[in-house]
Amino acid sequence: MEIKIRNMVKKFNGVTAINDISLEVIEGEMLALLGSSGCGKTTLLRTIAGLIHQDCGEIYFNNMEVSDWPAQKRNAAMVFQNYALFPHMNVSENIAYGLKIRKTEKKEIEKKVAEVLEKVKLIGFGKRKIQELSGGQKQRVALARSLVIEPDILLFDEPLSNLDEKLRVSMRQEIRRIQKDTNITSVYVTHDQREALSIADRIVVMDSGKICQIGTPEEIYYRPANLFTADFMGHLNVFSCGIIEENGERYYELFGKKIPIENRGKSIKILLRPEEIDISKNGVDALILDIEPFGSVSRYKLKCKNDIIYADFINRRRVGSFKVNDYIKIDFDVSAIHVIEGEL
Amino acid sequence: MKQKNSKLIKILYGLIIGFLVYFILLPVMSVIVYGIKSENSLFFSMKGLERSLGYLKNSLIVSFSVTAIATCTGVMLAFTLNRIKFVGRGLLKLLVLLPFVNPPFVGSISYIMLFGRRGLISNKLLGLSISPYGPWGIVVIQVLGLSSLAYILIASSIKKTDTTLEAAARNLGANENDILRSITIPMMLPEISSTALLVFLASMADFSTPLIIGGNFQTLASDLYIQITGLFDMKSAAVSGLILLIPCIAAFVIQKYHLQKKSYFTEETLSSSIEYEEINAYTKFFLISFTAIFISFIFIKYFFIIVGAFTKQWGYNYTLTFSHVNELIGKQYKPFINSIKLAFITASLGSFLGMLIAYLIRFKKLFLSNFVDFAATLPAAVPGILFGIGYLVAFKYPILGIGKWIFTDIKPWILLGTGSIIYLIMIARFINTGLRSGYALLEHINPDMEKASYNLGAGEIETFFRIMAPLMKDAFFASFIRAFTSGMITLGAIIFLLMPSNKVAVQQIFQVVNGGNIGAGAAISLTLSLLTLFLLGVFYTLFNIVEYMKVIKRNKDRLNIWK
Ligand SMILES: Nc1ncnc2c1ncn2[C@@H]1O[C@H](COP(=O)(O)OP(=O)(O)OP(=O)(O)O)[C@@H](O)[C@H]1O
Ligand SMILES: [Mg+2]
Repeated sequence: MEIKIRNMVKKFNGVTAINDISLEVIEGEMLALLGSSGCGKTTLLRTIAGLIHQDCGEIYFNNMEVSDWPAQKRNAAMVFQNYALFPHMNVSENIAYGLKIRKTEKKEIEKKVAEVLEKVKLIGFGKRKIQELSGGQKQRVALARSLVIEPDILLFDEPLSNLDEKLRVSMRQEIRRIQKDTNITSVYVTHDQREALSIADRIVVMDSGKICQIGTPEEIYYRPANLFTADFMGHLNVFSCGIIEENGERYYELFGKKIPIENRGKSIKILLRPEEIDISKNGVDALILDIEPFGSVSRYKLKCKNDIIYADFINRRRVGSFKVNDYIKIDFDVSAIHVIEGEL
Repeated sequence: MKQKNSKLIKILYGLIIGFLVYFILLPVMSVIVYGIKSENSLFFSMKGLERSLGYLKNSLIVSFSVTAIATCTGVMLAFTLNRIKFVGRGLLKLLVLLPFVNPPFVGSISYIMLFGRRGLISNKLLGLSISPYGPWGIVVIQVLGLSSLAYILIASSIKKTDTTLEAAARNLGANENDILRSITIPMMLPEISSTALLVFLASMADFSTPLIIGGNFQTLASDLYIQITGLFDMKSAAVSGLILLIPCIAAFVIQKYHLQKKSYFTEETLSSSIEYEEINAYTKFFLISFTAIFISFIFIKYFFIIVGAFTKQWGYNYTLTFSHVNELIGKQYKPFINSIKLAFITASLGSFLGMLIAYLIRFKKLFLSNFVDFAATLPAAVPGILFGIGYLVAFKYPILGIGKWIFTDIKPWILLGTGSIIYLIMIARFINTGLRSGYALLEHINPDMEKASYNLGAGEIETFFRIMAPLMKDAFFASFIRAFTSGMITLGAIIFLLMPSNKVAVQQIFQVVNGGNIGAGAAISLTLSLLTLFLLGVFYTLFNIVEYMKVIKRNKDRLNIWK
């Protein structure tokens, strides 16, 4: 099922939660909605589900307008952030709920529930009470409950935010696997950029009710279209350079390197990811101000000329490590640079 | 790590246990022992038992009907007033609480004015002269009073509704009817059942309405009153009392130990609004009309109390008069003073004790905590009038019963004229209010906060007053307001313990109405309601002013630091 959203607006008592959003979700893809808290992700997801009705704009499923359809009719199953499992029913009853509502035959229900329990690896948990499940198990039940009704669309609202780091990684792989297997068009809300990068076919970056950028994970990560996206995706080094014109050539300068550019606007920003910086004999001098170890890599805060630069270096024992106040020589490859236009 | 409690805490705890045993368990046990054990007890005689079982049947007929109707009404009111948006909702939310400032039986004043032998509707409009006295009158009046109780209990849980569950069901394809049937109501079922049991208890305990409006139809509770005051037959009373106690304790135990554990609601406050976004127009119309009609009944009830207070003699002489009110102001204001004194003192002390017990049980992990919790909540289960009889039996010897062994040659005196006894029984009853308020609060407080204070070198007493007390202040105030309101209208527990010198206003209303003097009854009821409302207003204002002053002072202190 393909989803199309046209010029959607939603306000809550004067607060604009969604501000003129247009968006397409391609059949069978996993689209991530990424943005900071309060930017309107949940609101957008809920309008797709029909749980909230938009003030303006239209929604189409496969070119059929569904803007006025009630939630019940849309067949867009949602996995909620706090699981939203029914506490007065056991696992099987929770999963069977949607089927019962659809007046499915009893035999059929039993068969489907058993199948889906297997799919989410919860065989033998059918009779358990909800209160007796761990967070990860609850999330699986919620997923199973959505899958069992064979929805046209799957909607995930930060489904993993209540789980610990390790479980999050394995659960998101599982969600990805199941989504690939079933090939259901999915929208996945998260505020965690790594989660979005690893799970999605395409990512939509949102900021205060608007879309900042839509693209594949590679595009979003390596070629952010604007500062907001860049910042959100972890570009720590942003240099605002003026453009220098010399002998009819236009270029800008970074650490003594002259980088020629094509025809661009007046002011530009240069982005350089911390991991793109190398230690090199031919580089420029930099003073280590601070070191923050993360395990496999450490983040170095460096002072190079008048700029503060962050660089990530892999920690290898045989290399040995640097200390604060050491001087090192750093370099970067020109191809690693990403340039965006705009005023700061 | 087990925390050591200081001697002081232990002594305090011991004193509290002593109080609970002496003023709660002993009277309740006395009723039981007295009913079963007294010489040639009627309990085991067929005749006595048969007689009481007849009243039990009446009690159950009334209480089951009232419970069913009042609980359903409470559910519908709670839904309408909390989950549907409409104009004027705020006002209705206030009006629905009005019955709390009056004892339930005052409804019979308006009832008699409208449906009595010379009532406005029955006699004047329809020309009938049928008797309105009987079970249906009792049911109507109790429903009008107790629906508000049901409302407030259910509303407090409906506010915790997790609307995402309903959204999830909607998302899975359920329509609004399915959702109500399969999600919303089942989720509330534990709260609804426990509300039903509390309504049942209140209805079983009400002796005054049947006395006034029951005619030949009397219940166990009213029979108790008749046996003791009219016939001075303590033995029959004890049998009725025992039979009344059994279903009440059963309901209480089910409510306390079974239903409360099952609650599906979490204590964490959910910020999202619980109002329905879209609701079927017919349903909305039905619910709002139902609520409006119900509240107009409450309104009519008060309207006729006001009218009655200024009418010479209803049914005979409809001239406007101020004589009822004048008489009150001139001669009979003493009972109001007594009521206020009693309600104020017992509500404060009861709430304080209850919160203290909650604190000791939850934070101090002392021995016997289950027992203390049970004893402190027991008075909620025992019908007031029966509890009063327990005091009568247990403390009929001088010096709170101890005198039995000291002055062995003295005949039993009823309570030896100590006015303090009514204070003690009310405090015993209000401990429960404070306890529940305290529990509700402590759920949200991390015990580590207290430990942090110890780590910083503060002593136990200092910690309680500097850390815990400020936090508990709001909960205390809530409990105080509840207890005070109920203290102004409590009759059952104290009716046998009152003496002419400390007569309270409710008792006055009861006697006057029971004696058939509608006008005077209406005047006192009206005054009592207005007085209670006024005092509640005063308390709220004072509380807010104190809070406000504190904020100002804090801001000033902060400014001073910068100077
Ligand atoms: N029911 C509501 N009533 C009023 N305002 C609302 C409501 N729901 C959302 N909002 C507001 O709309 C804006 C967007 O909220 P939304 O829940 O969509 O954010 P979100 O991106 O999902 O945030 P989070 O990551 O914290 O879940 C916020 O400013 C929020 O306060
Ligand atoms: Mg959200």
